Amino acid sequence: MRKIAMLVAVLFISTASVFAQATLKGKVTDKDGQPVAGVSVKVKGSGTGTNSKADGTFELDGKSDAVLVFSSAGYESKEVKASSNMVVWLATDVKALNEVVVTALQTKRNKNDVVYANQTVRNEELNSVVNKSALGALQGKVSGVKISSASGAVGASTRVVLRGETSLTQGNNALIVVDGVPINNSSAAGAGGTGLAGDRDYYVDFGNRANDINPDDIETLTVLKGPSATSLYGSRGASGVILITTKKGKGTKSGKAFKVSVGSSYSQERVYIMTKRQDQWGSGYATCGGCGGGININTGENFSWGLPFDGVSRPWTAIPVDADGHLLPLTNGKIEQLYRPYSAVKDQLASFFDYGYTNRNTVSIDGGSDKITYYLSYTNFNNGGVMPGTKLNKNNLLFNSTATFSDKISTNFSFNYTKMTQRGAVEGGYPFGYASGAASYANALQSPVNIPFDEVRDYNSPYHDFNGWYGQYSANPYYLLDQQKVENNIDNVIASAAINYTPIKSLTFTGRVSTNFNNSTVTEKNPKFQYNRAFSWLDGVLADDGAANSRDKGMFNIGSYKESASKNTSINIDLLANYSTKLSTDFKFDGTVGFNSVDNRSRALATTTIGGLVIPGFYDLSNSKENAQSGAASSHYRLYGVFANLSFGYKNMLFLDYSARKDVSSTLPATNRGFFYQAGGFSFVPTNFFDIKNNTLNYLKIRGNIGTAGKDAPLYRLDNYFVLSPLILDYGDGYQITTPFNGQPGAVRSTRIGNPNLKPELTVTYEAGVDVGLFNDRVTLEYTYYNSNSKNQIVDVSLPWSSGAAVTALNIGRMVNKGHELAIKATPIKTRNLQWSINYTFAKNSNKVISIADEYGLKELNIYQGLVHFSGHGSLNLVAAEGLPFGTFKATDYVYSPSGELVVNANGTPKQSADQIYKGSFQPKFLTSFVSDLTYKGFTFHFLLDAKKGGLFYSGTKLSTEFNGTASTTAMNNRDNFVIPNSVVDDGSGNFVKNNKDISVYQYLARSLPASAYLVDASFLKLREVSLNYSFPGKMLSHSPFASASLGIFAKNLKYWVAKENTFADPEVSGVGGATDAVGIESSTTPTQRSFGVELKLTFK
Amino acid sequence: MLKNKIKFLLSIVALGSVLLTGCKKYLDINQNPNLPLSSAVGLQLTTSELYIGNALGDRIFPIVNVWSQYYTGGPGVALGDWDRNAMNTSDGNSAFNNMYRSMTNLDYIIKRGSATDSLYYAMAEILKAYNTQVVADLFGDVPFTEALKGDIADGFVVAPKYDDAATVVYPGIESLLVDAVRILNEYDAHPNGTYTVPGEEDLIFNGEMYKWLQFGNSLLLKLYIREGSAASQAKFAALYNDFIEPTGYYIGTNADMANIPYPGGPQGSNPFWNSSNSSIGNYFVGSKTTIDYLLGTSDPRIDAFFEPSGTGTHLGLKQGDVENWSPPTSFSTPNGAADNVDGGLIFGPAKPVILMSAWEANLILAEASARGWIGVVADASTFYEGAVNASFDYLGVAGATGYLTGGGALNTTTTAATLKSIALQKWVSMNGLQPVESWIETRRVDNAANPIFASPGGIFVSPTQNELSGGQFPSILYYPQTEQDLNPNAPPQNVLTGKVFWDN
Repeated sequence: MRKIAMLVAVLFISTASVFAQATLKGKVTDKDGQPVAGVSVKVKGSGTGTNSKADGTFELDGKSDAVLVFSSAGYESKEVKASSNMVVWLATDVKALNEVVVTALQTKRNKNDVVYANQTVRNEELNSVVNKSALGALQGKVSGVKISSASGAVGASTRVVLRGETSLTQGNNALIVVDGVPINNSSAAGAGGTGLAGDRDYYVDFGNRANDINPDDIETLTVLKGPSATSLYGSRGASGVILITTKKGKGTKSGKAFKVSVGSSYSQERVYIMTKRQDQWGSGYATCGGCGGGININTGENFSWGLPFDGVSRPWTAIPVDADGHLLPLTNGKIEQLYRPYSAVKDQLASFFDYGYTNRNTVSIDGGSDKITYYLSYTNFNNGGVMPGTKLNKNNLLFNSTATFSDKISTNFSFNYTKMTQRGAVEGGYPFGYASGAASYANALQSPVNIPFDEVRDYNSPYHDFNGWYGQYSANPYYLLDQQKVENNIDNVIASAAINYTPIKSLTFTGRVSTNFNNSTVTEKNPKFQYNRAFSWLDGVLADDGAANSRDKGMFNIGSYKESASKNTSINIDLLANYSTKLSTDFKFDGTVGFNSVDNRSRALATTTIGGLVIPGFYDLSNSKENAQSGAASSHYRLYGVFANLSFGYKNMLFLDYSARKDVSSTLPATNRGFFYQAGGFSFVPTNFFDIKNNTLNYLKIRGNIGTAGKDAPLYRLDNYFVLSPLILDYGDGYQITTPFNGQPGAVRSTRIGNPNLKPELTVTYEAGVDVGLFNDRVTLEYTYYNSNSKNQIVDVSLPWSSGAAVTALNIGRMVNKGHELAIKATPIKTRNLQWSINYTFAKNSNKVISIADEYGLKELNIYQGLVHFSGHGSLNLVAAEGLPFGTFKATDYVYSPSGELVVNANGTPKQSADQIYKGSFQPKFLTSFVSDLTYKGFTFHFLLDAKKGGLFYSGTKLSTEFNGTASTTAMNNRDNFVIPNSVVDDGSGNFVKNNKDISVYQYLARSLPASAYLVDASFLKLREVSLNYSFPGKMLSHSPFASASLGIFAKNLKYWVAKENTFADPEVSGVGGATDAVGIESSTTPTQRSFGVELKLTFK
Repeated sequence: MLKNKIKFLLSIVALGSVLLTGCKKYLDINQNPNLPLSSAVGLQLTTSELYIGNALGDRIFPIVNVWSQYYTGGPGVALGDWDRNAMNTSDGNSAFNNMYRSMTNLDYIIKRGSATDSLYYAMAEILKAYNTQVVADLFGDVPFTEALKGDIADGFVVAPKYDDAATVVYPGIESLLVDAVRILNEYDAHPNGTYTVPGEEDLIFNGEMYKWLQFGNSLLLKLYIREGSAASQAKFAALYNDFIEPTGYYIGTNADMANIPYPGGPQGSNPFWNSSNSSIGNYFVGSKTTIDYLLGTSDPRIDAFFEPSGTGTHLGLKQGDVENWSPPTSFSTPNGAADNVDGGLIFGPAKPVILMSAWEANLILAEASARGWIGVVADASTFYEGAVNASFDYLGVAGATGYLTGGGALNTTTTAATLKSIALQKWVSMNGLQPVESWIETRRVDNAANPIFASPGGIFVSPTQNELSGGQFPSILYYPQTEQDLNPNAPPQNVLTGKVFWDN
């Protein structure tokens, strides 16, 4: 290769002499043809050079065959052979942007210096299509990041885990830092539940606060994974850090003082139903093996185990009755009800939902001078949910400003305010009852396939109100969606002010005060009603001939109103001294010492009506039947720490980095409050050191580091407490056993045993990696191997009640994560008009729980205690168990004989194990993603594919739809009875004999499968983003008021491919509990959506 | 030069460290402002009693009502496995955990109560004994000696071992009761000592201590007769002859019953009614086993226990036979189980949860008489009649006299026949009211020689969809899933046909 280059060079030199000296003229433009001023133009091999003028033209003397070198900051350099009136276009230098890395202390550092793995996503990459949240926008764009959304509801929580789970019970969400302010990213839930107490626990997901940030305000988003990167954030950074840098004013040295941009987008959303339903059998019992004893079609049933469809017109609603319960006759004396052909409804589940929409409008002003810059943006975001009645409205205001007063003093000021109102959907898997919280989608899933949802929306219609509603076990879901209002109003402020003082060159002191506070006001209105049950048609005959007593077991709710307010305040103070100098021509030193203090307070107050509402439809605390009850909770946390970071550099090729931190936390015992941790690493750039840089391998960096991350205890784990006026038992619907009981107060011991001997926990991680640049960075590759070992964790261990308590905090457990991360970027095609760039990531993490607590005999911890809502299927837990990955499912399972056949009960149904068996985990085998951007002139076509291989999820949808006979799987064997193949039965003496007892499909699917049968392969491949964008060329805009303009159309979630056995749900929706570790528990929450939209962006001249 | 700079930086770190350790007070904020560090024993007595109500009523009652063959599942809805003689491993969680939750508060009263709290101490011992016996009788071996010792001060035993029900748990229950009775007798003799006397915080007896003494004595009788050994026979006789017979201190009448009363309403409804009403009550119908027995003995209480079928007459569904239910036939339903607001005669929001009834205590004495443990055999009739009258009175049903000479007459032809009459009467009178106690008793009293319930020839029938072999019935509960998950010292899971030691 080198030899050929030499040869070519020799040829050039030998032929050079034939060309004459001349004046070389030309013009420099960008790829849109706009002139570029100030470009250095030099004749290669000589000192001659000039700069391009304002109109892009240049003129210089040189040989007519000279090679000219064009270079300018922000553009890629280019060598072009001279020609007459040459026009040279320069490509924007993307690499230059990547050369600078934002580090843990918010300082920007050269890429070579950085000793740990990190990946940065720029605004354009993050917003390749319009996304509702910044974390959602990150999906598929960074290697080794697991992002999952709790549901498709408006404002639902997002869970972000870097690499793998390192903490057994303290949560694994990455710390989000916005412009240096660690924010409170807690998720909240309303409607009484959290989602964590099983699928009967109704809740409204109010999201987590990181989702309040407007993705379009983000300049860069940097993911820091190793502990060297995060040890400086103290205990909160132990699960990794996501650094968000919002847009700053650029300022202009001349010309106009500011630049105004506007952006607008609109997209329409439609539920992406993954649940496959059968379309052959309707309401009733005919095909469930006699479960309903002789009734074939029952209009009151949620069972879709009725007769096969025959298209014959039949009644499907109840008979309307008047207020006194008398049948409502028509004028001709006949009783009226609605008929429709007995057949399946096409796209039935989708028709339950509305079309959703997302509308975002932004205006921003970027301005300033060389002394003062500012950036101001306002965004209005409206999201109408697919679940009828749900919506989210968000207003974001961002103001960033920097001011330089002298060489010595400068200030930064940042203010980010979000005001949000959200009306959410009630989530939860249990569709029965008339409880205010009954989850509507679960109700829809549990409706026979012949119920037309688009016809039942008017719940005031006599056919669909309480008296007419077809279902015996539930109320019209549209009634609940409309009448039950759970709303959250949030004000969220992230603000910081910093002053930098540079007394002498190379020494800078920084003082920064930052705060994040949010207020939330939640109102929950639950309607009061009491109705008798509607009549049903049994095989076309009115139940009990319409006798009044067949309606008496009806539905009622006492109603309630609840108002709660919470306030979280976090104040951070940082003092930093940075000393950065060249010790000699070859040596560079950079040192930072600092102090950090954290003060977090929370306060919550909730008041609720007791005993129901007096007047229906009026929602105020004064409308409580008994005295309204209030409760308050507050907390206070403090931490402070000192830290230092030292970095040495040799000749821009070898770097050593060391950081240390000592934290003192209020949550640890007074005798053991402090903890110290440190990290060290190196990076080495052989391409610089050996000067082996060439066109094939232009960059090589080898890096390695090792570090610890410390973590303190959660609040209030040290003492034994009592609980006054405890709630003894909650039955839902407003019914509970509580104290004061009949006027008598009460107290109980808290469920927790205090542990005054807690110690801080530590995670040790080492990582090693290489960064490679090939073909002048046309291909770049970053690879990292890591191994983290978390031990002595502070774990809230669930205890058996026989110990006298339910939980205590212990220092136990060891968990190891190791894995590989790879990110490749390439630009296979790069010409003036056509450019194709691709971005590929791959990450494989293997997680193993090494031990729990041998000293206490504990081998296992519960992460989520499952609740299988129809009994008959045993139970399922999500656990961390010794020797297995975190998040292993443990479920009742099939039983096999010693020779491997399936064992059945005497009645022919599969036998279930009495104990739970480990059945695999939610951990994926690998994650991978592929992004392609193809640009031709002003057009850019973009798509993003994202895949997860392996891992399991528990499907509550499978359970409930196989139970009620709507799942496509219930069409097995054409619903004829069958003998389970290769099954054996205990003959009573312990011997297994061949089973020949046949069972119905209903008995098999609905009544007897073990809980493990509901674990489904969670693999997927998603075409997550597709967009086509057009940037208007500068020429076209030259007579318009716009400096730049672009118009794009985009689609999200266009196509999902999932495992063949998964005919039930989006495997990515994590379901219960918002952003907690209870991943892979699908409980028929609101489905995710496919969306199509359009976006316009304009910048004014 | 470099050295100096590093020294300078390190000294700042060192200075910072010193400053940090100086700010101790600043960090002394880790005490939960919402929870007190101490409480009063009376407050815990109230809640302990409420937890017992949960344990008996929350999730266990459908299982034991079905397994006592009082009820069986109706059509359309999968009630679960109980009417197929199966259960989920988590079905026992609520009963077990609520009992221990109650006991952790009772134990606190016993361990930490001050000297003047001895009456609270005695009440706590009685309730702890009651709770322990219920869990032992339902589950077999259970944690006792190491139970409730999770506190650091108590040795931080977070995985208590399971003790043998016969040799450790039962004697432990006995000691608790004997000690409580001793204290209460002392108080009875010298009520003017330095006692803090409980009042309304005692939901069960409103602080009427002689009733606690009666309750303690009656529980000892129950313990001894269930144990059924020669030693316990002697203790039973001694207790009865030396103390109960002369003083009458046992639960002999409805006024003396140990009840947890519920005022009704959304904040204080009976847990049987609450849990049946909140989910499953709608779907139970009367079991043919019970309905046929009541009809066969012309028992007037049938209208109290059940609401008639749609035709106005009583009809039971064969146990577990929902799949052959053929409409328009409808069946008798538990009285009030699924009534929205008011409830009925058995299930109602303001009905009490009965810990021990007068019919139960009288039938224990009747059985002891029939077995010749106390008095002469003729006494059995007196106690038996006392029990039947108490039951009729409680239910507000007339016609006890006729019943006692008719279908409900005590069969005194043989000892076995007498015992059978007494056992059946106990089973009938506990219908829906004391299903836990009833199911425990149906397992104890019958055997191959004298089949009454589950033994071949007894009145129980195997359900159509049976997960056990024909003729087998559940005779113990699965250990709660929570214990299996969280207590490494939990024994291997029970099999449903296993036995507690007193089961023969």
